[in-house]
This record gives sequence, C-alpha cells and structure tokens, in this order.
Amino acid sequence: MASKTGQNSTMDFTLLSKYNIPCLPFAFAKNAQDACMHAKKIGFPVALKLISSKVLHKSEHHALSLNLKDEYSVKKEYARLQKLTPPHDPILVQKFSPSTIELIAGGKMDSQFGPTIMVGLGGIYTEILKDVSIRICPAQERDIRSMIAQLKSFPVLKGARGQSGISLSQLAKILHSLSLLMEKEQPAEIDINPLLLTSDGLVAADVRVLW
Amino acid sequence: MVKRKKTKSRPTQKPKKNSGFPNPKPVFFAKKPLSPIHAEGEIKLRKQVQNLSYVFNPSSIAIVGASRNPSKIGNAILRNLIHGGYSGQIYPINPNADIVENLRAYPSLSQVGKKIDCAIICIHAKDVPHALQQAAGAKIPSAVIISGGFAEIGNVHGEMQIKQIANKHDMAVIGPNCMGVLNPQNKVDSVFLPLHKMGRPGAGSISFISQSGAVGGCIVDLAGAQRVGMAKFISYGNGTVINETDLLSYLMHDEKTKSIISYIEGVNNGREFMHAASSLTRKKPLVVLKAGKTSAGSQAARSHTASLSGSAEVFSAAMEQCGAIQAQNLEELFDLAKIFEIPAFLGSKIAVLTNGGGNGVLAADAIEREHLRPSIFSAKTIKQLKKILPPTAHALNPLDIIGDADSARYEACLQLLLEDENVDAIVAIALMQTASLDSSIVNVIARAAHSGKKPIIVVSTGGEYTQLHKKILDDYGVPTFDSPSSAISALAKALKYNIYKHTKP
Repeated sequence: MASKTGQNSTMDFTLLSKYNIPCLPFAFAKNAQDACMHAKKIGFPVALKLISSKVLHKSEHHALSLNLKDEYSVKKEYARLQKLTPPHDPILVQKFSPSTIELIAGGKMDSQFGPTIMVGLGGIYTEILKDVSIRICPAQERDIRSMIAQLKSFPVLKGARGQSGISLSQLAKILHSLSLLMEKEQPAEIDINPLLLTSDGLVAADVRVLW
Repeated sequence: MVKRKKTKSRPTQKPKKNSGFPNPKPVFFAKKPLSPIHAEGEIKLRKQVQNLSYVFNPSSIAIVGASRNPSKIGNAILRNLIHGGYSGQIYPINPNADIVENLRAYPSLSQVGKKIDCAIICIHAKDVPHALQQAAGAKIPSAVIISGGFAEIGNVHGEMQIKQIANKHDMAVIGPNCMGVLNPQNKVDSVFLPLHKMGRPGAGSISFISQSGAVGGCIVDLAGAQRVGMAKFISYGNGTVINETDLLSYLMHDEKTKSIISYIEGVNNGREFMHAASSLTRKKPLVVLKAGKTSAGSQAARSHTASLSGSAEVFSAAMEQCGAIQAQNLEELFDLAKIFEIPAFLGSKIAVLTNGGGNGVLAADAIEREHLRPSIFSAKTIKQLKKILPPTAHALNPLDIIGDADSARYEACLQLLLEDENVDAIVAIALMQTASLDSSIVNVIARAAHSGKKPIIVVSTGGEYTQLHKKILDDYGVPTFDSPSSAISALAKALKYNIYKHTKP
C-alpha cells in the first residue's frame, strides 16, 4: 500500500531512472505556490496529477489536469485537485508533452513463471481492447522483438497513414531494461502507464510499483 | 512520517531495512534466486530420468494386480501385452492365483526371483507404496502406477511415499493416476483400454505426452484409425516423480521421436518447463495444448499489468517464448502432430493445386488469414501450364485444373510447382469424388512428396471413399487434412516454428 503515497511515487520514478527508463521531468508540490515554482522550472505546459491511495485510475476520477499553459491555470487546477483528496496527499507537477501514441508497459511476479513483463496499446481502451503481449524474464532480444511484433497495433506503432511511429529500438531497449528491473528487484507489480511517444521519444509519464 | 512508517503493513514481504524518501537511493527487498528459462545447450538427464528407458524398452514386465477377472484393469493390461505382441517376459503378480491368462503368476514382486525392468502397478492406492517398496527391493529400475486415489482426491501422504521411495532408489516412476505408456515399436502397452475398443497406432515419429489419460486415449485411438504413426505415448497422470518437464528432456534425447505433442493442464514448475522446452525446440518441434485456461486477470489484481496478464496469457507467452506451438483444441493438436512430417521450409509462398474451384478459393482465403503469401508462378511455369491445361483453366494460383482432371494432369502440374522457385510449399487439394480422378492420385501425390523437393500437404474433404484414400496417404507419411483452413493453419504454425528455430535468440 505504501507505494500509493507520494513519497513512494518518487521512489517509483527513481526506480525507473535507475534502470535508464526515461521519464517526463516531474516534481512534487506541497502547495499552489510550490506548484507554480516547479511548473516554471520544468517549463510550460505542465500537467498536474493527484497522487492518492484513493485514486487508482486517475482519468476516471478527474484527478489530473493536462496541458496547463500558465501560472493562473496551475493555481486554479491545483485548488480543484486539492478538494478531491485528504490534505497531505501530494500533487505531481509534470512536463506536459503532446503525444501521438500512448502505450502501457509493466510487469508482475507470476506465481508459475516468476517475473514477467508486458507491453501494449495504452489509453482509455487498454482494458477493453486488451492488445498486450507478455514475456517471461529475462527476455532475450528475440523475445522482445516478437513481443512487439505480436501486438495487433504493431503497424500503428511502426507508423501508419502519414503518422510517424515509435522507435522500435527504443521500445525494445525500454522493455529490456524493464525485464532487468523485474528480474533484479522483483516487485509484485509495476505499471508504466502511460508510456508516451513525445518529440523526445518514448517517456514514462506515470509509474506505479507495488511490492 | 516516522509514525506512518511503523504502521505500514507488508503481510507477505520481508521488511525493508529503511525507507527511501528523500533518500534518492531506493532500497528493495531480498530477491528470490531465479532459475534459468533459456537453455544453453542440451539438458543432461539425471539417472532417474535416464531410467525411463526401462519403461519404454523393458525386456521384462511385471504386472502387480494381474487379475483373472476380465473386467479388471490389471487383466486388461496383461491381455493387451500378450495379444498386442510384446515379446519380452511377462510376470503376473497375484497372491490369489497360480496361473493368470496361461502365465505363471507370482504372489509378490520379491518372489519372482528374475530380472524385471518395469513394474506396472494397478492395485488399490493404499497398497501401492508397499508394492513400490518391494519393486525397489527387487532392484526394478522403473514403474508405472496406474492406480488412482492419491493427491487428486487429497491423499497427499500416499503420493509423498511414492515420491520418497522412487527418489531414494532412482526409480523412474510414471503416474500415479494415469494410463501409462505405449511404445508401438516394441508393443509395450500399459494402456488399460482393450485392443478391440481402442486402436493402437503403428510405429512412427510423433511422441505424445498427456496429463489426462482420457484425452490421451482419444488421440491415440484416432492416430491408430487414421494411420498416423507414433514413437511414444505417455499418460503421466499426477506426475509425482516423472513430470512433464522430465518427459520433454527425455524425448529430446530419444532418437525415435521427431516431434512432440502434449496435452497439459498445469505445469509443476513454469521456469523449469520453459528451460526444458526451449532446449527441446532447438532440435524438435513441440506442440502444446493447454487446458484449464482460467479467466484473464484475477479480481485481486491491483495494476493494469496484473489484470491484463492472467495465468492463461502468461502461460501462452511462455510457450511463445520457448518456441512451442500452441494448439487451441484436440482437432488442432492432432493436425499439428501430422504437419511436422513434411520437410522443414522457411518461405511463406504457398501454391494451391486443386481439381475443384471452391476449395481453392477457401484455401486462398486461409492463406491470407494466416499471413502467408500466395505464390506468383514464374513465367516459365505459366508457359508450361498453358500447354498442359485445357483452355477453360487458368494458369493462376490457386491452380484450378478443373473437375475433369485425371491423375496424369494432376501429376504434370504438381511437377511444375515442385520446380518453381516461387513456391515454398504446396497445398494439394484432391477431390476424390470426381469421375476422372482414380486411386492412382494417391501414388502421384506420395511420389511428389517423397521426392523431398518441397513440403506437400493434402486436403481432401469427403466421406468413406475419400477417407480411405487419405488413410493411405497418411500411411505414406503425407499429412492429410479435412479442410483447407485446418491444413493451412497447421502449415502456418509449422512455418512459425521453422523460423523460430532459425532465429538467433
């Protein structure tokens, strides 16, 4: 349960960094002033996200505000988010990067096979479309290649209808790191959701680790 | 903050040494060591698994529980061995009879006084550990325990006893709660289904391991009826001593076995199974039918990842990863058993030869569905085809040589496809029902297949007359299928395996 609190969310991001999985720049705000300060430092536009044990699926609870372009909107949205939560739950200020493709990546300890990793099409329809593929850790190069190619959305990921796709080698690298993370740290579950395609390549916009 | 730290509940995990924030260096739990899933080379067999050769090739067999009553399992096994053609020594064990089925019976294993390679045990569960102990005392290296009534009904103690005795003496023990083994080569047969009710396949190159005896029996019977040869059949039941992983390792080394099909409800240890399977698939294809696929994510899953990776999805991923081909149902398991009789191929360009239009169209649809490619015949092939074909037929793929085709036309076209470099594999559709096609078509196709130039599979849909000709083709080792879709789906899976085998990890 601990990981659902703010301090551990920092640790979750730290864990990703330790394994060289790129994350969007972020900071935790204690109050509205603080949030504005961080937003300026990170650079507009930013997103605010409520980190609370009460909120598992942020979009369903409207517990996030995206694409905030100035201090005024940061303060306004901060006030709104604060009302949704007990006073001490922190609010995350994060760089907002428009993305064309949303992925989900993660892992879990399976009772039968041990650590596993997963990648799939992200976004609000993840659980409905279930376009995901799984591998057992350690995943070798061939495993990761076939894991990506197995996705129904693979043609979309490669780039379709004039849309530029993701760098498959970068995704493979992230999955390789994730496999290493699962193998070495063995958390019960980890969710990188979403894993966004931005102008800087693929970055983890949110992560949750359960031990 | 401090207070909060103390109240953290971690019911299942070891406690953390300290907490992270704002310390940037996170501290994590002690990790379980992980066994490897990728095999570096061939797996060396431990003594106990090596002893399986006594189960498959015994020079003498004792049957504990060899009853005189023909409705008893022990009697059925004894008669199957005698009448099935097993040529080794047979020792019935029965404390209440001197003679069973015209053979001298012995009151117990220890009183036989001769070398016994394998003991088939079919007595009440409570007496099994004692019999196994006697077998160990008589230095019998292997046993097949048919009897049920162990862990499957909660008798864990009895099962533990079996395990202890077997492990102590390095005995290879199959079962309990199983049908045991069948080796068509030397007619070793512990399957208790009578010969007149369940056919036995001839000797072949497919080995089949099945957790379930019932499913095993059905497939073996089918193989017998359709003339598909088998190398070994093992119904391993509870897998107490020799489990599915051991069997894969053994069959990897077994020279008679060229491909393996399996029916599995659960594996003893997922990572060990993967290790054995990935070692096996470097040499031989493995087909897995996994039953008991529970619903996707458990309700308790907290993350998206966990709810999206249920046990069935993870198992399927594991099989994918170690190069095992997955069958969705029994029909497909059987189809996939046959498909590996064709030579290995690595290209996806498929030619369809047919003497019936609609079946060719169905095949073309299946080719697209399975992400294979239809061959585009070379100019040379087209030129030659035009010489052979009547003006009403087109030299296109699917190649419909129309309903009045005889074996000669079929053969001429088949030869051209064998020579065309744009063809990686051939689906030969033979509608046996036409007036012009006679039985010689069987020889035409078998000859082409045996030339070894290209893989050929046959599709024939129809009744008794058709089935008769299909049987002959299967007997020749040319795989036949009932429909274009099942044939091409099997072909696609064979290609997938071939590519896996040739891809660097």
